[in-house]
Amino acid sequence: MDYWGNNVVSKNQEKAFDVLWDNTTYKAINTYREGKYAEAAELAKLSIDIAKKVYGNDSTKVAISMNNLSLIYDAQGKFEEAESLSVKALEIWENNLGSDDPDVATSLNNLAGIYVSRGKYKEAEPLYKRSLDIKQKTLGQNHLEIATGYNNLADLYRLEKKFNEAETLYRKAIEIFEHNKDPKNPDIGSALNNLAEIHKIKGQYTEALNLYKRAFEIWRSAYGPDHPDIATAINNIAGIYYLEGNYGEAEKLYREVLKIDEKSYGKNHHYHAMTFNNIALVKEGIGQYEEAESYFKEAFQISEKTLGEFHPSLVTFFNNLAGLYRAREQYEEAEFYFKKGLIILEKVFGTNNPDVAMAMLNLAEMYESQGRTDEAKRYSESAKSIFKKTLKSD
Amino acid sequence: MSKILIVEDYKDLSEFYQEFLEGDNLFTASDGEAAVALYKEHKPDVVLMDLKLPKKSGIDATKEIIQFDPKAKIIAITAYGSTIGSKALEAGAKEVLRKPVRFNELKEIIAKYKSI
Repeated sequence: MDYWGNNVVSKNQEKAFDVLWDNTTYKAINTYREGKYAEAAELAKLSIDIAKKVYGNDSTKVAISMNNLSLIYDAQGKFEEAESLSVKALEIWENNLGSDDPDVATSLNNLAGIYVSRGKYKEAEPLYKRSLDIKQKTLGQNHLEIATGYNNLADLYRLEKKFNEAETLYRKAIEIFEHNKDPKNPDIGSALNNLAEIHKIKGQYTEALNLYKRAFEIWRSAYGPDHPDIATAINNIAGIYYLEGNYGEAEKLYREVLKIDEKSYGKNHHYHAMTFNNIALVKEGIGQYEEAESYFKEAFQISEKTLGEFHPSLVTFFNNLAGLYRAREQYEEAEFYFKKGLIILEKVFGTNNPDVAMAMLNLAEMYESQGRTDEAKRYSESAKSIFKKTLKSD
Repeated sequence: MSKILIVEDYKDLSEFYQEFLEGDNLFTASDGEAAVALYKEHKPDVVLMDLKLPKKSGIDATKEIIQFDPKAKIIAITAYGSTIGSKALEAGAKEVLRKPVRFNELKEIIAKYKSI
């Protein structure tokens, strides 16, 4: 006996269960959208149980519920469970609806997304392509879902560093979004933002900047001025100004980011720390070393409070501060912060880790430049021994 | 197989890069002048450029290489913070990494520039 009380379902019960499945599924989706993944997962599991009981183990509703749970697991980082559920859901859909149904296309798309999360790019590509093919046949060439399909495939190519292929598909996606005259659709913003990334990677900063700005405008219309994604968009624009050496504009925008993030997350958040770090880099870039020093310190103090004393994110801040000291020939301070970074790496990743070796080699180089040859040799030999073990097993 | 020019005056670090990039066609220089000469001779796909170098600085070497080949993909690497890093970007480096470079970051960036 299960928690339904018995194994026989009457017509009235079936109607009641219909409503129950609808409500549970709806609630699971909404809870997932609110980011409450643990609660959403329980609801999705319940929804699978209801569907199995009422409609049978191989029913399409079981596939829908399984698919929902797989997306929740994906968001939770439980990729193995997500993949196995998504594969089962796809199998049920294909058996029930045939291989060219739009729902099969959606399922293929979701499974491909899970493969991407797991880094299985080769497995993801044919699924995205099949999904796109089904949607093109069933929905036509200019449907918004085709644009989303192009966008997904382009994201995959970007991850695989096939930048030219990615660029072509982002452009196709943007064309379809524009064709559909839906200028405030935040998905256009995403496609523009991703295309900007490609131009940035290629060093085409003017194109990147224009595209980032267009993405920002669209997201601002869609989400309003204080949404966390707006902070990301501004941060991207600031990053280009920094790369172009336009430090004044970069700093102004990083301060905007601080204001928006403060509204969303408060002052004690790691995002705040990262922006302080960026401002410090700008200050250092223009030779305002004391300000840079104090922003770097603010960055790691916030992160120490919010993430704990030994979080790997602190390593960047410590190394940046140490680099600033080293450039000013304040070797004692430089050594202190480089070592703090090294201690965290050893604590988090263990002593046989290539990043630990890189940090040791960096210290060795500094000691060598100071004429501290014994210490240099000691660190360098330790680093080499780690590399020997880790590079061979990589 | 990509052609990669490693410019690093600290021997132990240079040796690490060579081991790490095993399988690619590698050229090594330990000063700025040799770096420029090797670039002109072999036109490598990617350059890993330390910025503090004897004879000719990494910044000046970057400028000369960019003058010779504006499309050169130079990844500057420095332990001296973002002041010198900014100068490298102005000189034409595509990116600046701060020492100690994170292993995966190095791997990712080299792969990225090899594929452009």
